[in-house]
Amino acid sequence: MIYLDNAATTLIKPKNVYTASCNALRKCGNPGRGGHAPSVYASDKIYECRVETAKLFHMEDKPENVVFTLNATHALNIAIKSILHNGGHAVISSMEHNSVLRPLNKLKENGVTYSVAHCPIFDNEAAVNAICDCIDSRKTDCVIIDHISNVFGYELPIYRIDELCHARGIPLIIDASQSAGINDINTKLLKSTVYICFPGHKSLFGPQGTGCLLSCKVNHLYSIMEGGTGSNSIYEDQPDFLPDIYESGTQNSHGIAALCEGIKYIRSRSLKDVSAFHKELTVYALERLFAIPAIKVYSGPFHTHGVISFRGLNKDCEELAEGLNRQGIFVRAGLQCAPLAHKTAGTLETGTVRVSFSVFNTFRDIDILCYNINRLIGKKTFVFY
Amino acid sequence: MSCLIIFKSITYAQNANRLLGRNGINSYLIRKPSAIIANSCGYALKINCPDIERAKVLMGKSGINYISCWRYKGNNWYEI
Repeated sequence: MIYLDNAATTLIKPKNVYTASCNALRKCGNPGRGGHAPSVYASDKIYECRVETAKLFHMEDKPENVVFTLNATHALNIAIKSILHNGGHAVISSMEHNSVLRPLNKLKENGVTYSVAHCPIFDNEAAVNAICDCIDSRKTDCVIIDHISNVFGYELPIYRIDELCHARGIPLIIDASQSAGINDINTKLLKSTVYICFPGHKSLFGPQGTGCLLSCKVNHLYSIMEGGTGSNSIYEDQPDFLPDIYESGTQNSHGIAALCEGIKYIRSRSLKDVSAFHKELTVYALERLFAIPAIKVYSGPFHTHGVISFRGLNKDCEELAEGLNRQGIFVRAGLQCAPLAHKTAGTLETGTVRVSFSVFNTFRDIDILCYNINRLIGKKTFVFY
Repeated sequence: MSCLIIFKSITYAQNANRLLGRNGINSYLIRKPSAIIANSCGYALKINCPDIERAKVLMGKSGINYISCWRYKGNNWYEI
């Protein structure tokens, strides 16, 4: 098996993730609810993960600002709706996933409007200028950007965009779905970023059903879902403090305990090394893919983030992915839930085949992928390096 | 003699528990006794009373908010 759909979910996890998940299933009571040992054990596991997450994002003094969610979509819904629940205007990049687009379209019912900043893939200057042009300081309430495109692996310059938001006094929401666990995101250097949203099940190696909302510099908290939190129970209103305001209902302590081990693994290898390895894999894969004449590869300068899209010039993307599937090579074809990004790149009609890496992939995986692409598109010869 | 520090939620109690531990003060996470204040379902740290003033200073310096501190005397809890 060669698994190259890590931008959707990492399938191969560090072994401690599996162990922690099984242990948690056996040992965790309901976290934050009781005073008995299994409940406190579950609470301790969740707290440990808050601390690990906070350290990963350089906010070690504020573990309570780490809010656990079901996934990145859940986190983005909280972030977006807490700012725009009463209407308002957002600026988004043209790389955004449906997890941003759909909440904003739903919010149109509340009078929300949004502008799409056209960010041509792999052109940071144009992206920053486009976002700048779309911001209207008198009416824009927030800017929302995808740190790394889940389709093309294109990285938007978050620190520059944060700086321009700061200069205009506008909150920034970052969708770090593809960058959390690969890129070093230093919240101490972000001046205007209010929320960072990401899943646990991708490059942080947690299980599905885990996600996170980092609350960085939020002045006003607003819940979008209310319920039991294990705190202030005598009051009928939702607690107004973090993390409780956004964590109603029983937390996924089993998943979070496993996620904690995934984050520890990343930290033990160091983000610098993880990022460097992704870069090496990506550069190698681009080199090999560019050598295949019958496909178009979407790439650009500094394209090093473990996500590559391409399409067969004479072969349907889904057919190509299915052909690879039959060889035990798992990639994702189609629109990857990001039609806006495809529209930007001109691939809305065709979709793309996406390969995405993790630290558990090898250079040989890429050789075998390229050999099989060649075979499927009818080219018989291929040289292994 | 034991004292209790009451927190608004378990996360803040856990923050304080780690902070105090790093500074040589033993504390133990428990459910807040319902006899203390009406808003039930809270968590508290149980610590030795001689450590309470130092604990308050440490929490204050670290920005960890607590609701109140209590001492058990006779058969009752008294806020301190």
